[in-house]
Amino acid sequence: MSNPGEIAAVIRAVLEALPVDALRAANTAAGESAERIAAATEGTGHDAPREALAHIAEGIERTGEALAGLGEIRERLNAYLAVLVPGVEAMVARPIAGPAGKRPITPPNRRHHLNSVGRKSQVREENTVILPGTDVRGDLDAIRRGEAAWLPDRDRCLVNGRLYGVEVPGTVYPDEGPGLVKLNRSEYKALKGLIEARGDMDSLPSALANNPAVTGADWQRAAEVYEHHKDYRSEDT
Amino acid sequence: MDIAEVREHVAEAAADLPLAALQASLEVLDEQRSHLAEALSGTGSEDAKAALAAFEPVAERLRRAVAAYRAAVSCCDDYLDAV
Repeated sequence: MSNPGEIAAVIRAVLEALPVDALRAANTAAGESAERIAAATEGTGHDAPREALAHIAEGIERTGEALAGLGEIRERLNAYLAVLVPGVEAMVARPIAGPAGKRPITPPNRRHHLNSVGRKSQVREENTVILPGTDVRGDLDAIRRGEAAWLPDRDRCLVNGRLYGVEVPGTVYPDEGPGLVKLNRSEYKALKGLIEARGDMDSLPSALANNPAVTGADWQRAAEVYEHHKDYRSEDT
Repeated sequence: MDIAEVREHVAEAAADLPLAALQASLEVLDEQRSHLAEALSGTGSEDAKAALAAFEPVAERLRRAVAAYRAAVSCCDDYLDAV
């Protein structure tokens, strides 16, 4: 085939047929299956469901990579199409599922990052903390590329095993997953206290140290998170 | 949730894993790659060559995803056998 018009027609047909929507839907379906398995088997003590969830996470990740590969194919074909038929407009990318497809998304507020938590941080019923080293920026890039699964029942994006919500202006906020820690009110208060006291329990404000609402379990949980803080010093050092 | 409900949820969730969708996508990819290869044969464009070359890694990722979901289904079956 040497006629540029015919070649362009084939390229357009191929671009239309690339299974972008099917793969996004597949990731959404897989994410929903994972949620249902996790919810149904929580606390049962069996290894098989955990292994199943790990395999599903693998499937979602590989499908996400395939989606990125489709993006590359689309880019290359559009570039060739522009050369083949001067003046042609590249075919636009497919819409992204969920709210991220309706508005530009922006990174989570700094208050979510562990090293930004401080005395003035507002305490909420649920407080998700992002541990240092968690690739939130990479997650946002993946969401923008349409590689995240959208879980409509939970109103969350699932990407790289992490769940994110999107506020109306487009600000992404972390929910749960590897590198994200969800703390309740008391745990978060304890974490703030540890950060303020640089991990020294003897230097805690007395009102907090004697607060009956903050239990030993809360302190333990906060201490586990504080170990990731930039000011944390091991007792061994 | 009693054990019958747990079994039902797990069985349904396993059945809803997108194995068929990914298999269909693999077939679509293979078909489109053939169309494209035929249309682009002899064009010599680097973008065209790169686009064609990019199909196989995508297919490979999808095959791995299919394998992962099969393994997940197998684990669910093991669980259903055990409870």
